[in-house]
Amino acid sequence: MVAPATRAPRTPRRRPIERPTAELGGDLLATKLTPPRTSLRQVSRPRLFDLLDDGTEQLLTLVAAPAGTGKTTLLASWSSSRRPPGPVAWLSLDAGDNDAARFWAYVLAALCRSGAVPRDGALRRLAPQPGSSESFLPLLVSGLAELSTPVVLVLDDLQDITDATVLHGLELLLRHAPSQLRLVLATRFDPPLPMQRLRVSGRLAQVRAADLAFTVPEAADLLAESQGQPILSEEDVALLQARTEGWAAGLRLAALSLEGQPDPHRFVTQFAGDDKSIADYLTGEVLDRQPEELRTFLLRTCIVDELTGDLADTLTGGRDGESMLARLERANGFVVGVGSRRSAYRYHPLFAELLRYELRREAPGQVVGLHRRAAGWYAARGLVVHAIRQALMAEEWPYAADLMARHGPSLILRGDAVTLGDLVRRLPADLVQADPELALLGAADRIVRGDPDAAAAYLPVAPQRAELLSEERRDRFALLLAIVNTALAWQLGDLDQVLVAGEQALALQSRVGTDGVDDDARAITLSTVGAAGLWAGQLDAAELHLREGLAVALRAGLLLQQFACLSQLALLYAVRGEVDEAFRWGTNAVEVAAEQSWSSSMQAAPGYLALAWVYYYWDDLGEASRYADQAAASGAGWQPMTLGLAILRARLQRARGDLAGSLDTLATAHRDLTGWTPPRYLWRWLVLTEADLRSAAGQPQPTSAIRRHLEESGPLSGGEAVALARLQLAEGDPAGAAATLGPFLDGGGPAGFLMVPAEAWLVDAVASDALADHDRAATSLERALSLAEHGGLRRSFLDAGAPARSLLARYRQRVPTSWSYLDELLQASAEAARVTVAAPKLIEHLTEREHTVLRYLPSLMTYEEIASDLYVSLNTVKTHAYGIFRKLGVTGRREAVRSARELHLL
Amino acid sequence: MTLATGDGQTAIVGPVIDQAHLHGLLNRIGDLGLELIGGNPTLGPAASAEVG
Repeated sequence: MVAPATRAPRTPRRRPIERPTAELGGDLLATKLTPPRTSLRQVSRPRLFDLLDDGTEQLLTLVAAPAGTGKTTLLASWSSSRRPPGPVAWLSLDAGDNDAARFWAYVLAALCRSGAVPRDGALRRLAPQPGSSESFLPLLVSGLAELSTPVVLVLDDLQDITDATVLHGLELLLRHAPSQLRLVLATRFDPPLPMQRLRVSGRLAQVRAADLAFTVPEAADLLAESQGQPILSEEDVALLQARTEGWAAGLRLAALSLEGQPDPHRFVTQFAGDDKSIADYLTGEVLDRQPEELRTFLLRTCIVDELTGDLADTLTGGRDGESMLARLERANGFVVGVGSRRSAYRYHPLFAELLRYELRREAPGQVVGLHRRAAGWYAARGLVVHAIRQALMAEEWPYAADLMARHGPSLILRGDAVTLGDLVRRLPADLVQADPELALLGAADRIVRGDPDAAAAYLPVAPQRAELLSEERRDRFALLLAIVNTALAWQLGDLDQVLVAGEQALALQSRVGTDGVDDDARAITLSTVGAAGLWAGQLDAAELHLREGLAVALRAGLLLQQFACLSQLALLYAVRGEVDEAFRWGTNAVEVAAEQSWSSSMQAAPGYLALAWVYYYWDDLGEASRYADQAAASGAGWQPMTLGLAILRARLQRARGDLAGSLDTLATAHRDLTGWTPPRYLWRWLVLTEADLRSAAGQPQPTSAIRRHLEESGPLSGGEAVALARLQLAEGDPAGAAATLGPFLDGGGPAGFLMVPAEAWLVDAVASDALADHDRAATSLERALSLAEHGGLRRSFLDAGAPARSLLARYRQRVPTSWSYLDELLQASAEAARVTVAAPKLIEHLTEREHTVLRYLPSLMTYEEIASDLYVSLNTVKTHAYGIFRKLGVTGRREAVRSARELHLL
Repeated sequence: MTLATGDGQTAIVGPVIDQAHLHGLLNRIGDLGLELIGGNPTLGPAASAEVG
């Protein structure tokens, strides 16, 4: 992002962001979003490439065939060829993705990574919220519709998706997909999606088992590639192909077994029958033929999904894991490299299954021990979820429970959606019920799933059971309880409670967890408490917490937590009126967000809001609105953010001359407050903004009443004093204004929300002028001008309106410097005053149903399609649409969309 | 696929082209909560499953 040239050039200081050091955990996302590496020795199969080429000319290509038929390999090699019609977005699914929010978040991440979405594309600002795919999907569709190239979205292992909501979402996507989308679904069996319609309309292509089966020449190629030279006669190849029915895994295993066979012909004629027996036969054959050392290696390492050299060493007790894996990949394709990083590998899923089967048969006693070792390895590296999964597989219940209790805090605070609850549920039920810590984790799971009420109802019971625990565990329990309370209060938007419970958690953390594994939890607690302090107006304490959180996150290499702290610090400076500082941190946060595909994450919202304020002060209203929209998209649903945004939006509307609209925005914000008490400072800010707008609209409230109201809940802060003084001026009480302002002018008193010194001096200048103290007025104006010019704070003068304009004109000769800037302000202020209210106006509020329909209007869907999507009749949709048009004062859909966007209804 | 009902049972008749297709079909029958009574190959390029 570049600051407009009219402003002094700024060079944002770049803060160091460390890359995550975790070997597997931090990058799991990456391996899900990258196709497996393709082997160089792969057989080229142009006929299948042709099928995919043709298929991706239109909407859907279904690749449906059983395990081991080479679906993934085919798609990976096609994706990395030059043949796809556009960038390829890859997503490898697994059973953990049966959660609509997570599924669509991955889809978005895959699309954004593919290179098809421009930096400012709408898709980058999208964020699926739990339980709202109905409103999310139209946005996804319209985001796809604005892409300039086709994009191929590959969903591999779709058979693992069984969740009805996710599948329904896919169905909607298929029904409304714009022409840019080319979907490729790879699955072991036909998905429950309405294929018939697509097939009839010619928008479905299929690649099935019969297509994937190796032909005799392809089988010959594959065998020759593996052996380096053909060792089978044509007849033998044909026989092998017939026996395996061209099954890729079977042929691959056969090739392995053939290595060093004294009599290949005899081997080929020996095995018979169906897939299962081929697999068994060949696995036995392949394994038996390996040197003992390699065989042991394979059997011992097959129990984990992803391997590194070090993990392999832990499992085998050897030291050459790394070179062994590299050799296995190079020599015979037992393993494939995953992700773009160096040293992670996995077995072909089918081969891993066979190996595990073999291990259980051959050495059942070893299985538990191996899982236990893997658990230990993961735990030592902070890869908690993997560790717990392995401990569960080892049926080491107490160990798994201990891991969960120890790492519960970071899992809860990280909001790692479904995971923790799923893990707890896999423990024996009686164990969970008897253990207060695990019971508490059960409550935490409810919070994570966005059901804070159920969790809150449960919490009072938990502490009573804590007496059952040993002393050491009692401390840990107290910590867990404090963390759960913090997370719960955060979700409910009860910031005071976040501060209380969070401080308690921080105190307990420094007492209980000292082994470094807890850095994660500490960084998250710090940033949570810091953010709560920020929104509650305790800016100094918040700054300390956020900076410490940033330091902990830096030290521990926790990228997302660093980002969260950056983003919140940006907002903190904006709220303090330190515009330059807010710009530096905010820009930094936005860049990190773009690099890491976090642009639509919750953590990005404060950074966007900070930049929105910065641009507001710089009087770049377009950029300010743009960032406000991004903050809304990523921070939606969290009440303090919603209210903070409403205040900014109201100021933006007023700056554009839409006073009625701005009052409306605040009235709506007021109405939405039901059931939630905002923190004091935020509430006071709302009251003052509202009073300011009313005064501008000619319906002032008595300032003394407002002041009394404010002082009841605590002393005035600097920003509040400036706002109040402005009201007093408008009321014709310059002496009162000067008195209100006095204590704060030289940096005395708490700064508080949006204390911009330039504004304070400007108000003082207007007051002094009214009191006929012209020398003071000139000095104060001079200071205000120099501060505003230095910081580029044009808006501060424009918002002050006619009194400021008159002051500038009359004192021009008395202010020794900055004439050019003064003239620029005068002109801008005069122009702003001339802005006739031509901006669109909302004649009447939209109903909730009309809002729903409005969200569909930007898409390419017809009214009929909208109706079927909403399960209502066509006439109903039309009625709503005409209602929207009337209220927006427009005559058509396109115009309605534009006008709704300007009114921030979209 | 055609459906023939009667006698408290429903027969679904139609071509099942391969394993993936068959598994997909069986999953759907399961998802609908229907009890699968049996499956019979029929003469010609069609197959049927009876559900109750």
